Amino acid sequence: MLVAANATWYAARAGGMVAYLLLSASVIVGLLLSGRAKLKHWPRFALEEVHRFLGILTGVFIVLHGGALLLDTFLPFSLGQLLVPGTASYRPLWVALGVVAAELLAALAVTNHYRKRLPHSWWRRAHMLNFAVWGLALAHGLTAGTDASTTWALMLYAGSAWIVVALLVHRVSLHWSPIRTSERRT
Amino acid sequence: MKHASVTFAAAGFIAIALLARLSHPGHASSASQGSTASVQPTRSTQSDDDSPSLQSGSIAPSSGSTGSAQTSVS
Repeated sequence: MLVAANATWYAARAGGMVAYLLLSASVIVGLLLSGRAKLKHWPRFALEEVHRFLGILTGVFIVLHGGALLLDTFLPFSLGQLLVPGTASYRPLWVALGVVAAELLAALAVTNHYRKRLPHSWWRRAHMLNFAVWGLALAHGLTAGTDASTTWALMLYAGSAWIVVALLVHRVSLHWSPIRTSERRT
Repeated sequence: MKHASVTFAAAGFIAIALLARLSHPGHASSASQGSTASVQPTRSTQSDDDSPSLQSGSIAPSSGSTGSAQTSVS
């Protein structure tokens, strides 16, 4: 009974955390793809499919997160507060980070949908904004999340952030390595 | 692979919801009292308050400003 009474609150918290973890997983797979990583038993097309599907699943859990907040009676979020950054009564700035991240992700999903109609360089630059979405989502979780101070949540945030940053550094180092640079010149 | 992703996400959702439930101070209090009924007042007393009492820096239901005995967790 108690769980049912608080279901929206737990759904909001868990939905937000799972959305962040799925986003992190999508970013990790994207970095593996762009780094030309070759994984045993994982052909490139399969990784691309996983990358795409994780993005969709992230959207589903963001909707679940927002929907649960909308229904929850403890934190009275209105639809306007969920859509307009900075209008929430609870930690407006930190909630705004999540709102901006979700809306940016939605905009990037639109660019993905019309990817073939867009110039590749344009789409690629826009796709880089997913790192900003991930960073905003991480900051939102750490600052607005009720569970952010718990050990398990900190471990999830730290672990996912470590993997993403390590792969990003590796990817950037590949991009700027002398061999790669000379390859691009030829 | 899609099924695996959905399964992992659903399992993660349930696991995190349970962790959130366990880390809820009201839950710890109810466990020590042998009853789950004590959690509800934390929410109900706050939700009954019509004023927008959620200010910046406050933490949602777990550290309710009602000052109830939930925080006396051993």
